[in-house]
Amino acid sequence: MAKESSKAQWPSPAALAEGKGRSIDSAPSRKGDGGESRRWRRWLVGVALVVALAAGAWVERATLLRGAARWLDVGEAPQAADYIMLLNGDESTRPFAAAALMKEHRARDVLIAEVRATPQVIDGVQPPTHEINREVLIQRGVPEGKIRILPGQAATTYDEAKALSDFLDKHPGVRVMVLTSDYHTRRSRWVFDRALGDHAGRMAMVSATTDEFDMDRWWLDEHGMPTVAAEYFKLAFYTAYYGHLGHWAVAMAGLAVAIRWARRRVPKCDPAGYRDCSSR
Amino acid sequence: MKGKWKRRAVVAAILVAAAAVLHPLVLGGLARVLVVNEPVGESQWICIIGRTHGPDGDRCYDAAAKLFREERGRRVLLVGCGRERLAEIGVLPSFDALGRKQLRLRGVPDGAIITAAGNGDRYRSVAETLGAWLGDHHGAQVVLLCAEFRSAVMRAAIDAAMEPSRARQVRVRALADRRFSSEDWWRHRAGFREFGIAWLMRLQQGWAGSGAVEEQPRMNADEYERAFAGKVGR
Repeated sequence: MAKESSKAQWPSPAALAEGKGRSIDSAPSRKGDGGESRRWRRWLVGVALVVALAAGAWVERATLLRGAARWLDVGEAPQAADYIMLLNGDESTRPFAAAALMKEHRARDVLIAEVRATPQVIDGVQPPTHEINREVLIQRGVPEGKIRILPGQAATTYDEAKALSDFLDKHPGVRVMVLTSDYHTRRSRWVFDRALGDHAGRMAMVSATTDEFDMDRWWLDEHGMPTVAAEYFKLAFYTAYYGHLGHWAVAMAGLAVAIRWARRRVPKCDPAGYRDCSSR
Repeated sequence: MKGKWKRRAVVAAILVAAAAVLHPLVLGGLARVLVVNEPVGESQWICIIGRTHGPDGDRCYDAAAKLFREERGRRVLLVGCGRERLAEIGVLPSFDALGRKQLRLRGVPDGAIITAAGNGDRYRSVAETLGAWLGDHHGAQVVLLCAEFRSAVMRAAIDAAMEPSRARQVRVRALADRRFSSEDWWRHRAGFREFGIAWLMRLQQGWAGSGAVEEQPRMNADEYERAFAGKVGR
């Protein structure tokens, strides 16, 4: 009887050795000081790990940040295609790269999506971006007849992908090179893959090298920082907005609540032996 | 258990209600950190700065012409942005030509406009160009027009690039975009984008400090095409 009582009050020597027990001096409690110290130990190990990881990341920050920029570039070597789809933006680089590819006869024609007018365009201070791209191509030797403007008043990369999707619906069997800035290729590929659906296999993504900043030191540059870091935010936004991440998040939250509810219905087993675990 | 969940639900409801009521205050406050709007007073020069893809600040020509008409500035200074590849091949007018044309259309005579050629379109480069220009124009007072959310970035760049006495000769005037301002930027996609970019620029200024990289010289159109063709041809 006395032995049984002792078993009910105090943890086994094995449990004590594992740190699961309590101090003999302390008053008996439901959780026990052994559990408390174990929790502290885990917490300290966790903090130490986080600090070690942060220190490592700081020491190797240049490598990590360079890698972060390179990860955004998923451009492929240009292959022969029927069309080059020139994405709007970065007019100082992208149309020049498209012109270089046209001069090498890598494609027959260039496609450009019509863009929505910005305030500067409305004021007449600047022509629309698609017009600037068209003019650059002509100036760089691409015949006017080889440039096609896709209608659609595009305001985002997704809109441009939809414009190309409509074009491919009407032109079965053609292959397209999508040309955009190197840091923009990953998001563009993600967007075009979704917008083109079955046509996605007919598309290749090609990088126009940005020379506005050094991609290997982007975090130290006034243009590099907002360009590369914002690209990650945009990627996250696109994943959430166009990739139905919100639906997934709600589904996962519902699953987590259900699991929590189910676990609460199962009696807990106390490793220190305070509760009867035989029911499990 | 039920009481605990009820408490959590009440706390969540309070948080949602607080967010609904207070979000303009919080989001507006986050944007106001990015804005510097200094009193104009009697400035002699109105400064417009060029960026790669046009001037900085929505309706900057209107604002400059208004200040000129009100005689709060007697001359206009255009600070260029270095190499303009699109202007070099004749696709767009140069920043100087565009600025003069737009200001003429708004009643500013050509004789009242001068240009300081810049070395690049980073705010730091603009501040250095302006600092050098102020060195040649002792005692000149300048009101510098720039985009609302970039105004704090501009002010920080001026303070970093110029001596304090010279930096005080420049007053930064923030121009709100016609589509959004610091009071309602979250309602517009362009506002959201501009807010994010401006914050990243501020972080970059803080992070890089004096270690910020020098602006690399840009290639001309032929050089860029050759470099690209060489890269993809490998």
